[in-house]
Amino acid sequence: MPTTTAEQSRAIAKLYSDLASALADYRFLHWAELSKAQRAEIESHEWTLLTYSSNMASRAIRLGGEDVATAVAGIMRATRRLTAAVRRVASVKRAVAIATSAVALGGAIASGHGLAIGEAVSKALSTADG
Amino acid sequence: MRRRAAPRPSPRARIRCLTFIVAALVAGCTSPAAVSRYARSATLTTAKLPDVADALSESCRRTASYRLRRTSDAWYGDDSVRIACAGRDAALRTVTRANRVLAAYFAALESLADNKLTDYDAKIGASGETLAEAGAFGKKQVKAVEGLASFAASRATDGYRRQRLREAIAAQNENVQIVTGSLHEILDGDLAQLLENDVAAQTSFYRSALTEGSSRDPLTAILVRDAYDERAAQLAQRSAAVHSLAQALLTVGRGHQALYDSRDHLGGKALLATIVSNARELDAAIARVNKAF
Repeated sequence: MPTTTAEQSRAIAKLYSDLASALADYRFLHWAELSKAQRAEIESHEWTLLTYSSNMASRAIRLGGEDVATAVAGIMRATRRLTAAVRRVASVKRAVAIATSAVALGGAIASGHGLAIGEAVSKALSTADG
Repeated sequence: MRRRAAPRPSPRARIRCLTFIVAALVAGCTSPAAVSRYARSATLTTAKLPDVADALSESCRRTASYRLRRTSDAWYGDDSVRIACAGRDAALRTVTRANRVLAAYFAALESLADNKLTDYDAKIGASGETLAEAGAFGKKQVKAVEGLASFAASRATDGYRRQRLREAIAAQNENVQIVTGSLHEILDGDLAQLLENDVAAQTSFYRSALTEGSSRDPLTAILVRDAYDERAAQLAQRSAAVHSLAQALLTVGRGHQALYDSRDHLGGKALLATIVSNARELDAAIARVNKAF
């Protein structure tokens, strides 16, 4: 995990929480259009994102804090765009792709590998920009 | 008829009288009513935080069980839930450790103001060290916690007295501001976020289950919905109480600042009025927290 400040962890926790909520809204709004498998997949991503959010909030409590401003700024930018994308998305396929790339981004952050984070950020950005 | 002169008091009685007057003057100069009132409310405020931490820990277990039930058909045990909440539990321990030191400081301050001895919790002294080892707080916060812990320790061992209140308040004000400020941020930001996530998880869990099954079994759906409403109301009340407690910690900081600003006139009426108003705010917040936790 790259070192983030408590404030940055708080911001990321909020973004992940917002993204999970956006996915839940999408799932319930398009309930009838989605297959059972699609609903399960989206819901699974929601749970993962909520867990990431809670982990980041818990981390914020524990952090002493060095700055990795660039990485964090990238993560936050990507997550914000993903959230916005989910809110305006129309196709089921794209919703699932966005959720998947958000989860991959969270996984990369948890792994702490700079290269993996960079790749996940750019992938998430391109998915969000669609 | 000549009136008889009143008998002159004996030297011993005069000494007793003088001692009484001097004691009353000394007490008057450092009248601790404001400090005592402040410390009592501050102690009650910090006393609530462990209950909040326990409730958040319990809430995490419930959320983890929701997730396990929704994402897997496999049976899960207590271990799975405990592992899922290990990070949150560790973070909550950090908060309660810092809070414990703050609580010990206020208890010491109160006993100092009331000129009575209190039990000193020997574990408090190690709190700063533990926080540093865990990398839980930044250096500034750890230093503040250690400062408060050493004050609480010396209070018990050296027997601080009323005339030293001024020095104690002056020495600890910065530490109190740092620790109350940090705890405020944690409560208002992180713990509130954790609760918000628990609310989202609970809503998702119940709403998914109801959407899937309500048409098959409408009567059960009514009962499930009632259970959801009850839990949702409880979580909403708890979220509001966490914000109240966060604000109360700022009020605790402000109260200490008022004592610090008036440290040369601790017996002043203006200070007492400020502290009484401060304590009323704290009492109202504590009542809200008591209702929710």
